[in-house]
Amino acid sequence: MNVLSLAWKGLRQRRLATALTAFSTALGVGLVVAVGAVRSGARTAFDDAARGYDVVLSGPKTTALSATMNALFHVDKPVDTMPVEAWLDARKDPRVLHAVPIAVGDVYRGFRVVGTRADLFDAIPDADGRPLRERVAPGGRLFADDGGFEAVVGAYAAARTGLAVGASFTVTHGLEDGGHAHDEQWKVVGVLEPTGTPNDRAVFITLSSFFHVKGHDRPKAPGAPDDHDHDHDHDEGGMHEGGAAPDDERARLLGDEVWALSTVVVRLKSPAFRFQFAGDWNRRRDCSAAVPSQEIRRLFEIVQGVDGLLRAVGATVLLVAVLSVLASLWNAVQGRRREIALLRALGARRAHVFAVVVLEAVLVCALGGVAGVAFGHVGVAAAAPWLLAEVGIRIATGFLPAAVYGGIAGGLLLLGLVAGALPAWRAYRVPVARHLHPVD
Amino acid sequence: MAAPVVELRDLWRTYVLGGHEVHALAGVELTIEEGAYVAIMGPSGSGKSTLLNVLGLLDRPTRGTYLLGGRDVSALDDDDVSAERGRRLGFVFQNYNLIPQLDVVENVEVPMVYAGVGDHEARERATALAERMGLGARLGHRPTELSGGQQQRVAIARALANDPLVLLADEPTGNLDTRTGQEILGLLDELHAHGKTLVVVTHDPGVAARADRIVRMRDGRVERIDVNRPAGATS
Repeated sequence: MNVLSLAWKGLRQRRLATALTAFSTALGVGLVVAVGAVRSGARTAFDDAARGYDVVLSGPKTTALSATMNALFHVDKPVDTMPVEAWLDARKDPRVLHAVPIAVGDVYRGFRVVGTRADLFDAIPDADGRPLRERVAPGGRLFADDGGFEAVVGAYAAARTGLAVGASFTVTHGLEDGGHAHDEQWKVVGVLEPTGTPNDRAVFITLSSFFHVKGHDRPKAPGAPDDHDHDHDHDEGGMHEGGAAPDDERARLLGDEVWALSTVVVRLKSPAFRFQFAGDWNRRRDCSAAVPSQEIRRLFEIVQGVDGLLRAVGATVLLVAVLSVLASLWNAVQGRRREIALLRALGARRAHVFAVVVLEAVLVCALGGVAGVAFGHVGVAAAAPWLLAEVGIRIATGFLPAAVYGGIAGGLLLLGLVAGALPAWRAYRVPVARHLHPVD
Repeated sequence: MAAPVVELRDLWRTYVLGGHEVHALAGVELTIEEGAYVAIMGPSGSGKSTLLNVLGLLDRPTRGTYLLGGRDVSALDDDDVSAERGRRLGFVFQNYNLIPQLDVVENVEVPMVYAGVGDHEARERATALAERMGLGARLGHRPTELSGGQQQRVAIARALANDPLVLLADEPTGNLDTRTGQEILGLLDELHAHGKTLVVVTHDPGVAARADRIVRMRDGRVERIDVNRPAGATS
C-alpha cells in the first residue's frame, strides 16, 4: 500500500461522486477531441477532394466557390453555363494537361449525374493519388467518349442505389428530388472502387448521351413553340438555357448536340500555374476561373469561427468539470476531516495528506481523460458515416497524432493539480486533535 | 526503577475563548516509566483529554517540557511531530477510527506506510499482529463487516504496528458491551504483561482498576496519583 493506493481507495469509497465528476471531465475532453478530429479530418478530406482539380472553369456569373462545390463535391446548383468554345480554347493552352468538360442537370435517386468525357478519369486521382482510371472495380470498364448511353458509378452511389455492372437506369430531371423521369436508359459499364473523395457519390455518363436527352437539347428561339413535353421551369441551372452555334472542331469532338457546359475541370502540367492560369482565364467574358484549393482554404477560414466556438464550448465544459472536481473534493475533505486527522495521528505528514487529495483530483481527471478520448473517438466514428453520406467526405476515424494526446494528458494533469490544490490545502490544515476526540 | 518514557515538566495548554484565557492544562508534572500501566481519570473539563492530546502529540503545549523517550518533543516542527507520532506512539480510540475503505490488514499497515516500512514487511507484520489479536479469520474484511470488539482489536493491532514506546487509549471500552470490554481489557493486560507502556484515559473505575497507577486530574493539574500496584509489577 502507498499514497497512490490510498488515493485510489478514497475515490472508490465515493464511487458516485467520482463517476459523475469524471464523466463531466470526459464530456469536455470528448468535445475537444471530436472537434479536433472532425476538423483535421475534414481538412484532409477537402484537400483530398481537391487533388487534380487545379482550376475549374465555369459560366461567368458562377462564383468561384459555387464552381468548386459543383465540380468537386457535386453539390450546389450552377447559376449559368459556359460556351463550348472556352473548353476548346482551354485544350489548346500549353499549360493544360487535361481539360475535361462537365455538364450537370439530372440526378439518379439523389446522386448527381455528371456528363463528362473519359479523360476525367485520367485527370482526377483518388485520395491516395492514383488516377480514377486505375480504380475501376473488377468486372467493369470505363466508357468511351462515343460510347452512347453508358455510365460509370461511384462506389458509394453504387452501394446505396444497388447499381451494378450491366444494370440499366433512367435519370430524373433537375438537380433536386421531385423532378420527372427522362425516358432514356443508361447502362452501367463500370463501378469505381471507393476513392475517399466526393466522386464516390457521382454517377458519370458520357457527355454526348447527356445532350441526347430530351430537355437537354438546345432551347428554341424566343417565341418559338415549346415542342418538348416538360412543363416545369428550367431556371435552376444546368443545361437548360443559352447556347451558341456549333463549329467543325466541336462537332468532331462532341457532336452537334453539346451546346454549352456547366464547368470545365482543368488539370495543369504543374500546380504552380494555377493562379497565373486562373488570372488569364478570368479576363475572358464568357467564363470565369476558380482555383479550388484556394476556395477550400477560404471556406475553412469561415468555418474556423464555428470551430473556435466549439472549442470554446469544449473548454467551458472542461472548466465546469474542473470546478465540479474541486467542489466534490472540497466536500469530501469536509466529510473526511476525521479520517484525515486519523491519518495524521497514524504518522501521515501534512504533505502526505496534501498529496493524497491532489492525487485523487489528478486520478479523477485521468479517468475522465481516458473516457473522454474514448467518447471523442466513438463520436467521430459515429459521425463519419453521416458525413460520408451527406457531404461525401471521409473523416479519418483513426487515432490523432501522439502530440494531441500528450497535450490532453498535460492539460488534464494541470487541471487536476489546480482542482486538487484548494481541497488539499483544506485537508492540509485540518487540526488533528479537534477531529479525533469528542470534546472532553 | 525503570527508565522514564514520558516526562512532563510544568506543562501548560492555554486556549483563548471569547477574549479570556482558559488553562486546559496548568502546570502538569508527570513521569511515566517504561512498562507502566497508567489510567488517567477526572471529571469533564479536568484536562484529561487535553493531556492525552498533548501526550499523543496531537496538540502542542503552550509552554513546558515534554520528553518522550528522553527526547524533547515540545518544540518539534510539524513533520518531525508526524514522524514521532507514527513511530513512537500508538493510538486506540473509543470509536475505533478505522479507515472504512481498507480491510483489516491494510488498516494495520497504515502507520507502517507512513513510517516508510517496505510493502512486503508491512504486510507480514500487519498480518502477524492481526493474528495475534485473534483476527486470523478476518484479515480481508472491511471494518463494516466486523463487530465492535473485532474493530477495536484491529485498532490495537494498528497501534502496535510500529512497536511504539507508549500505547495511548481513549476510553477503549466505551462503545463495547461489558463482556467484549473485558476481552479488550484482557488484551491490554496481556500487552502490559509483555512490557508495553500503556496510558488509558477513562471514566470507568473498573477500567482504571486494571492499571498500576491512577492519575487523577482536576482543573488542569494532577490532583493526586493512586497506586494500585507497584510500578512495573504485572497483574
